[in-house]
Amino acid sequence: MKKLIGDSSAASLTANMTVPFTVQIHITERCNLNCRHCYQENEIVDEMSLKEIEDCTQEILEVVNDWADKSKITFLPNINLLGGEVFVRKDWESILDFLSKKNIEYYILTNATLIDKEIAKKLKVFRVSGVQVSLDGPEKIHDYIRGQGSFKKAVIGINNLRENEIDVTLNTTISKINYESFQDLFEVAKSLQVSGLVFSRLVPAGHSQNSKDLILSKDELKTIYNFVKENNNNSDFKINTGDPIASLYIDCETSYGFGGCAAGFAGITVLSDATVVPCRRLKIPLGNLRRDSFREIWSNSEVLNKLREQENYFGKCKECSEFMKCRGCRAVCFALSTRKEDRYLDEDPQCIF
Amino acid sequence: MKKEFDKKTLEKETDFWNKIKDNLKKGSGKVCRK
Repeated sequence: MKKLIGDSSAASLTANMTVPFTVQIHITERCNLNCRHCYQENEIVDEMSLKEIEDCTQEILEVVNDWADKSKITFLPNINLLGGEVFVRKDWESILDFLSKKNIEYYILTNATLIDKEIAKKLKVFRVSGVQVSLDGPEKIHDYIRGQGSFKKAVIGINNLRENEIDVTLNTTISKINYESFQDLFEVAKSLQVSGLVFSRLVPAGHSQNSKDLILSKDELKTIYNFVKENNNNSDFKINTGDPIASLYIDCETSYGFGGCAAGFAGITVLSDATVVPCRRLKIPLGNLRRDSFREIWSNSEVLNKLREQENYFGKCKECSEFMKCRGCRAVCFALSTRKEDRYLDEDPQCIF
Repeated sequence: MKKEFDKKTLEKETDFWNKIKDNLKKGSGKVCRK
């Protein structure tokens, strides 16, 4: 399977007629940390068994292959395993063994605090395509957000991964807490010799639904985007993002016709109880793979179909000429909208254009 | 047993991916994978 780039958050493609299709699978909602900005709700659910995870993965990949045959689009399916914390689940090795035998590009999203030398060696054996580690700032900031000692543990995990030549990228969720130390984090990332730094906007949902005051203003976001743009023009160590608005701004010299938010277009998320949602940060239930087929959900879900038509959107997004390249972050819209209905279709309140 | 998809479902799929294909002719940009 062709590897895109060492970045499990965004795909930067050069060839036409290619669409990365990301399947995010929550294998557990349980976590060993309790981070301030987490979009999870720490809910206890009936987790899918190993067999159910295998079956739903197989089902989705077969549909994507069928789309490729019929549409003549080259799909680049990739799987993100996440949680909760992946390594809290006891049978994680069996899940990775299954994926490694499928010969598919797959990534793990983790806080890295549980990755000891033994686990890192196993990840090499299971041929994981890359590991995305959440790091939210230099030590003091990271520990404030994720708990005392979590930075040092994450760094140990990162070093264990690197010793086994596993591709590591860092992902930071930017908010009022850490945006002023973004440059310091950039230096930390370089010193850890990871292959890249990725950033996402805070989505105040779940555990952090009452943290709307941590959302950055448009000017604050633009400061970050300008730093990234300048860095990427002048440095070999690139900062990347999948954020639709940031991508439009940072890659404005690149000409393309399709990109942006994956919700309803180029990805799907399966929660640990087999509930299907548009994105891991946009938890609107669309169906459940224990009873519904993926194909049925993808084509007939009212939410997904509304996401696909610009006329259903509100505010700036409804009129925007960049709709097929952007659509804003639907999860941010959902979390911050004051509308009573269809909040996920509201305009992106952090649009800098 | 999961519900089988019908012809209408397949037609909707085709329409959707044709629309994406038209836009892909102008090139592929970044798609959020977070």
